[in-house]
Amino acid sequence: MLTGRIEARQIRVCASCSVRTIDEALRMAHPYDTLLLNGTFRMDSAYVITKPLAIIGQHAVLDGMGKTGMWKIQATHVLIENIIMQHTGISYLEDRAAISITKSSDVRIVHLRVNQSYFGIYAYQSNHILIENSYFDGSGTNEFNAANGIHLWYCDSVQLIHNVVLHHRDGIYLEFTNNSRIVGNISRDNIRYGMHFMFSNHDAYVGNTFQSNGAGVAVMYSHDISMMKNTFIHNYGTNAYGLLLKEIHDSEIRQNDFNSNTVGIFMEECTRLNVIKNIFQSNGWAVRITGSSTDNQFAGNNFLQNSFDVASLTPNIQDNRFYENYWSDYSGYDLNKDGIGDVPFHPMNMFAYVVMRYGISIVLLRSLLEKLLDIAESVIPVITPSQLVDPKPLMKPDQHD
Amino acid sequence: MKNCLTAIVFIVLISGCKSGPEPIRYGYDSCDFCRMTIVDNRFGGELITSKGKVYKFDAAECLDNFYHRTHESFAWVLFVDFNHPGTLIPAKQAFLLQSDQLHSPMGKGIAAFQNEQQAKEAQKLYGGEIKRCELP
Repeated sequence: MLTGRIEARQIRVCASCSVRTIDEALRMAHPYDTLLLNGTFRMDSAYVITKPLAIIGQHAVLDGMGKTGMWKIQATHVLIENIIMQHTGISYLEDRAAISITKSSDVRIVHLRVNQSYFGIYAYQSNHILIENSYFDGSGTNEFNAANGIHLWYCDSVQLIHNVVLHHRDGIYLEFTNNSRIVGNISRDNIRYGMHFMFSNHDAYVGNTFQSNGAGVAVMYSHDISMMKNTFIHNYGTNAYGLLLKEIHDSEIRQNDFNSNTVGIFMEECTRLNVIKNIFQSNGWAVRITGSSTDNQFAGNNFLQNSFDVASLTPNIQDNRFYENYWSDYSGYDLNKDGIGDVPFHPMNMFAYVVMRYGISIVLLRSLLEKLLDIAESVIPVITPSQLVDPKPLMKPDQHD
Repeated sequence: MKNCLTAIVFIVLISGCKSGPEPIRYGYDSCDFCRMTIVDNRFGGELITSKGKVYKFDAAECLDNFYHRTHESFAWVLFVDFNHPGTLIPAKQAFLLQSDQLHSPMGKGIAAFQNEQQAKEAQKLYGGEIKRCELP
């Protein structure tokens, strides 16, 4: 294998080169060779990579002409770099992708620009994949002509770093994909979710932005997920959430920014989550808790100008602890000047309960009736869960780094 | 005038009472079990209670889970026909194919077919095994 690396050659492929087609170059190439592509290549079928290769574009464009994806990787140690790929067309039968990665490992995909693809990248039963500094524009307009931008199925140890994904069905999709890191990506204007986790454990996503998607991020049936320093912004619509959590256990949600979403965090059947030092600003609902969610902690968060801060129909809400959060609706006082309000804060008001039961009553928001209900309930609390309380509300917003 | 008003109110009331299956609005409706927005029109189903309330699902396993966790009684149990995306067929008549090669929204890979022949044709393509629905 070492000698293979030392003897590695470069094969130039262009219209005026001795090797004119990529098919020919792939046939000639020995393992660990480098293909240098220049010019525009119109394609009838995808190129299949079955040996370790580096494929580097030098002003190269691959055009699928609406008929085909570009690369099918079935090998280890493959690099694809600096290529523009476009027009895969749509296929419901074959999961057509600009790059399909099947049962491969050590694949690096760097500096790509993919336009008008169905799937951008479809990786299946592969591990140690790096996708970095790439741009995926699916140009999808509805759920039928769009597929996922980066689709990972039964993968392990994947790194997605500084990519931009837009106009796909789900921007980034992980199913049965473990031990992966998703850092500094931007996922926006996707039809369903910015990012979607299903049955994927021990993953982290840090410093990403999810903007104007059907819903921000859905994390479902997973555990040990670390969600830090992400921004969830402008995800609104009837079923829209910044972050949807369904059956998630033992995970951390820290220092994220939830801004202008219909619901900041929607959690159902979640256990042992730490929701700490996040900012919830200008959301319809900052946090909605349903199903039997237990043993979750909310501390050091800033709740700023949300229509509703917390809402829950869960009877055992007392198992979820709120403490030392800042609530912009808090009107208590601090006589001993320790920075903590002397009166506990009940973040769920009566009207939130009414709206959860009867959605249509939202038309009464900010009306006299809402005020009357809230005052009546604060005097004689019978309906809203009295245990849903922050016993130590902060007087000033928590200063986050 | 009064008669006219009564008639309008009556019409509104009557039309409000219509019950039965409802088409799934893809990309808009969300699954009543897993909360995901429903986008794949080849999978999923619908439950309609005897009072006429409609629950929609993105995958057969969500429908099954919901069915077993609720105490409501259902007048209709319907699956989406894999060969006619977006149309609903009664679960009792459906033949179900379960295969890992069917990449369904919730990962179990269950597709529903109108008859045994269509299920068998799909089985040739995707493998897996054919079952009947056990829900009444």
